[in-house]
Amino acid sequence: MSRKVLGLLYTVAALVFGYNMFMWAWSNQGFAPEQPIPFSHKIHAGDNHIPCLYCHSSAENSRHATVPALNVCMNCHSVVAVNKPNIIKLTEAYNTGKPLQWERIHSMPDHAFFSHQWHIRKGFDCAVCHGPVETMDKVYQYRKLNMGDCVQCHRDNSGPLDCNACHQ
Amino acid sequence: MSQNNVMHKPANPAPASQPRHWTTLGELRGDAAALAVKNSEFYSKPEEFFAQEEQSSKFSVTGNPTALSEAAGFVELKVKQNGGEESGFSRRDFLKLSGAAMVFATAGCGLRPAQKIIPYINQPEEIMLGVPNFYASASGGAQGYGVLIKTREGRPIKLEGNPNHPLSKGTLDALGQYEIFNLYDPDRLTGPVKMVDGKPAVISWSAADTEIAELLKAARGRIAVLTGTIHGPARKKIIADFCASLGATHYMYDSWSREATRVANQESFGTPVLPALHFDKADYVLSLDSDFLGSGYSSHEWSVAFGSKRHLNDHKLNKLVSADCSTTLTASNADERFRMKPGMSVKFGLAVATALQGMGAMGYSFNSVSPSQVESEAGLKNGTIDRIASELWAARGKSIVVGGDSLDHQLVACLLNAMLGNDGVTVDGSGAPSQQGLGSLANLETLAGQLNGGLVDVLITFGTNPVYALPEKSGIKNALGKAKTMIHLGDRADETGRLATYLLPGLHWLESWGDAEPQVGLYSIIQPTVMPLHDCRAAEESLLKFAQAAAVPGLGEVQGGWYDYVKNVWQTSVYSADVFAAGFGSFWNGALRDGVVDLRKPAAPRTFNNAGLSRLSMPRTGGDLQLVVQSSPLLTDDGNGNNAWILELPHPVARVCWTNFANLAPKTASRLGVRDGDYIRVTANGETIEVPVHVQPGDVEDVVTIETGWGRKNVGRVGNGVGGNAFALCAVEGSMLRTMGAAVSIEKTGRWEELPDVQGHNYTEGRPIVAETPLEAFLKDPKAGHWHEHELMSMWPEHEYKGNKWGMQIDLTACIGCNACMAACSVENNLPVVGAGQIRLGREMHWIRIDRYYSGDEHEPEVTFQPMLCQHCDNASCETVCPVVATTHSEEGLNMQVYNRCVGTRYCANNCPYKVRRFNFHEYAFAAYEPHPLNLALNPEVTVREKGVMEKCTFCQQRIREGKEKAKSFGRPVADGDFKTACQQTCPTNAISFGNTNNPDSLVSKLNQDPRAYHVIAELNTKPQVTYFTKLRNRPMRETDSAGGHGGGHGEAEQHGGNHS
Repeated sequence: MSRKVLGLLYTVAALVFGYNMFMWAWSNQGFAPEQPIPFSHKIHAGDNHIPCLYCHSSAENSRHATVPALNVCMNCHSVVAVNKPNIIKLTEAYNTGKPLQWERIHSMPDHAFFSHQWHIRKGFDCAVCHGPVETMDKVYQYRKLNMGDCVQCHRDNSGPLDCNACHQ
Repeated sequence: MSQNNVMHKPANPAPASQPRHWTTLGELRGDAAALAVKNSEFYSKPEEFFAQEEQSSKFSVTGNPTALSEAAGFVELKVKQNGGEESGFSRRDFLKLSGAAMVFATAGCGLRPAQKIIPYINQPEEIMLGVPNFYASASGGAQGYGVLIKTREGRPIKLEGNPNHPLSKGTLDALGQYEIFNLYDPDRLTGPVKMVDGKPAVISWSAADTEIAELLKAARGRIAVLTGTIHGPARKKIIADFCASLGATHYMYDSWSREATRVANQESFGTPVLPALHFDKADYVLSLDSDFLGSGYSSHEWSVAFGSKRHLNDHKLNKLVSADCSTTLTASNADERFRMKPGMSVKFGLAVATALQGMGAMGYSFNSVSPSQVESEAGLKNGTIDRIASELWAARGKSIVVGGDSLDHQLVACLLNAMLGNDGVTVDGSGAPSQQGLGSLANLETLAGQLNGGLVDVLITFGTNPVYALPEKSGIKNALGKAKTMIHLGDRADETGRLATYLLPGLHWLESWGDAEPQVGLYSIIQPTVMPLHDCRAAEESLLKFAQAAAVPGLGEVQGGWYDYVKNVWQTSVYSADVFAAGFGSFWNGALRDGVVDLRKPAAPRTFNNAGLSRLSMPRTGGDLQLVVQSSPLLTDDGNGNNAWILELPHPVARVCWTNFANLAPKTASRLGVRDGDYIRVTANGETIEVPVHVQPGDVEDVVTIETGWGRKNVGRVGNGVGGNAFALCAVEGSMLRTMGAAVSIEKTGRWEELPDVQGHNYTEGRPIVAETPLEAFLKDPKAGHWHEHELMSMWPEHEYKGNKWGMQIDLTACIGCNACMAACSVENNLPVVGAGQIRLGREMHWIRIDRYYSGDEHEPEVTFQPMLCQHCDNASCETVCPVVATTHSEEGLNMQVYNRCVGTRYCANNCPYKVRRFNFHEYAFAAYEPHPLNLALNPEVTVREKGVMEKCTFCQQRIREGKEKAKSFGRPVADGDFKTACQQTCPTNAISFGNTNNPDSLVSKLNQDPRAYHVIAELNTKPQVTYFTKLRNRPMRETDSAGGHGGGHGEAEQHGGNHS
């Protein structure tokens, strides 16, 4: 190929590459998928002041915060707002034994290890990473949660900077 | 770079205080071809490399490449696909293409694929996702050791020993660790099957129960139940009840039978028991052709107990003397080993007994054997037997004589133990004897007689495989085929199961209820840790259901299922309100939680009767070559035959995996003109099998030794056709399988395949890696066997460790080379299996390996085992050369490997002097774990590595983290013992210690002060964090030992002499 054509090709390739990397690196912030039941954190955590750990109880003892099991919802919703269509749907799922399939929002790649337990016990508020969840009708990813995000916070708060803290 | 094969004189040859250590005969003999591997660790051109791969993928251990097991062959097929056609491919082209490919690949990038979170409907209280739950149980096999099962998300992922259990004491052997893969074996039957016109057809459980109930009702009094060893009150009782209700008879047969021991005990002491042997009370052990550490009926318990005395305590160490005819694991660990022809050890034992008589031992009458005559026959030094006898006498009541699995050996062992007053102290045949081997060929022969007489209409089998484990001539296969209907309750259509009409698969003990009683009075409940993975049902449950469906009086009237039955039996036979203060409910929960109920009675001496000695038959020598068939330490239980991880675990002494072999002494091999890897036809007792030769240093001349457990035909895709079936070569004599001394002939087939040997890929080249010294020399001078480690300056600034600093210590005297650490590490860290072809290329993936060194000459070597793992060097040579900084040093002293950053240059492996880095040359993990449900065995805390990524021991960083989490939850710093690394936790002999070297009170810090502590290749200034203790041999000094004691030996002072090229 002639030099000029090759040079053009390489430039185009570099631009395409750069744009894609940019988009890819920033694409998870703001991710807000539809959920099977439009659960509103604003009503529960906001208006009703339910603490995060009431439902997401494993966050302080496990690496996973998890979406609560249906029996946690039914703790209240066996009597609260039972006639609302979403609660009826919830109760049906509970009774028939067909679990709800929630869409995962905050996801780390398989090679990154994150433990909620460590961070909760350090005293960090859930809102530091998850943002003002109590204002969210529909949950969206508040922070980038890429490696740079995590490492910067570790640097600022004297967290471990060893690679194997997160890459186990 | 010069490629000539001249072995450069090592810069730091082993000091004069060390014997020369070698790993392969090629190394010892200076064989150029063997040593050439040193110069070819890294290929200079990819073409040569691919060519070698292609060649290697054509090899197979079975000689039939297309029939090679899928799990192992998976990788080899992929090798063919990846490596075959790229011989003209250069790196530049590759980079050009991949650069462009990457650009266009990212053009299609978008959001990550959606994942779903599916929570429980009703989450059980005790489950917290991400946090493991531990359950106590016991193994369902004959050994019955107590285990602790780690479960995550409702399924077991790791087994550990139960710290409460007196037999395992919190440790677990290699086979126990790998049981997890037996649970997830993809080749288990997944549902009930009925053979219709010779073809398998699906049948439902209820239909099967109905049909079988009819058959059983019609066949009352003509039913037989054939199982392996069954112990445990509920398991025993349900079979007894079944037999009583239906007029059936129960027979037991184990592939490797222990009836010789029972018959000998019957003759000598009046009851046919398997004595429990208490090696933790024995200062002296004499083994007569017994591999008690490797394949004894309670080998794990014995390793633990023996190991407890293998730590230098107040200047004392136990002593193991072995009189044997082959280099077994036990013989390799012997402080003094006397090699003699097969069966000669019986005479040796009698000669020792004769010598003991003169020392005041109990005077039982037996035909004396002159010690000097035995010494001359066996080629021993004059006075040896008297010396051993006097050492034994000095340890009377604190010693054990253990014999091989033949009647002669057992009779002599009983005699010696009685004479030494060991019976009732270290040998317990009265209080709490073992129940770990109750099968007998005599029992099976009775069944065969019944079958041949047409007296058995229904035969139910499970837990045993006599069709595989007996030679054709025994007639067992024929006999079993004569049952009108055979119902197999095992987990697959194995060699025995194939004969059955109904295949109603049973459960693995990890998913089933049951109980175990390995020693009389030592009870454990077997509890399930996962719902049955397939549509299978516990064999005991099937028996119960058959009886209930047949509505027979007795068992048929029992309400409920197997779980209820177990609980009821425990309430009536184990629990008693007199013994336990709590009610049964609390007792049951306590038994489930603790994993063991110890109601063993104390031992009492038994009266010896010398009548049995009249059955002694002196060893017969059959022809020029004699056959010795031994039980494999890995495949004693035929449930393991399809377990790829077990097949890839190297044989503890030979270090060969993926096949068994015919061991020949070096002189015999050269006389017969065969070498390692030559396939031969071995004929004995009219049967022939084909196995490769392995030249075993230390074996006795003119003896061919082959291990059983291999050569399976119907066990699954991994095990079929691997190795040769040594059981076929045995003969039945006097209702026992004769395994020693038969005449054997061999014939070359002309075929050769490289043995998959994990040693021989790297050599120590004379460097001081292993330190050993006789105990006597050590007691005179604690620096014996050592060399001075210089203080060396470093180019690099030292790391500072303000918090924890992790270090490990390994005691080479305690290490018996059992491979348990290798197994535990591979389960904990999601290690793959790679198959025989890749092993031949040196690509085994074990993060910790046991290097087996010989010292001395090839005919009578001594053996040392050294676990070698990543040393987590402070000045790691791997960290400085990684071009992408994928390996760095942590604040706590660990050398970290970051998988996602690694690009696979392998420079780190090149630079590692310990050769502990393992590279994923192919998608090993995918190939190994892909056949579902094997993927359920993966540990979610450890990344699964993909192709092109380097990996190595991480000091179990996930367990370090869990230990820190635990300590943090208590608000304190990590304490010694908060967690253990996988290898440390499982080691039966506690040879491995791990802890914080920044804490002066930790065990590791204290151990590092011991004068025996040394580092491997310390002069390279890598500053390794693993310290080893010199191996101490508890034997008299020999001329070949160094003058001992100077410790400061520098050997040839070349390291001070400046450079030389």
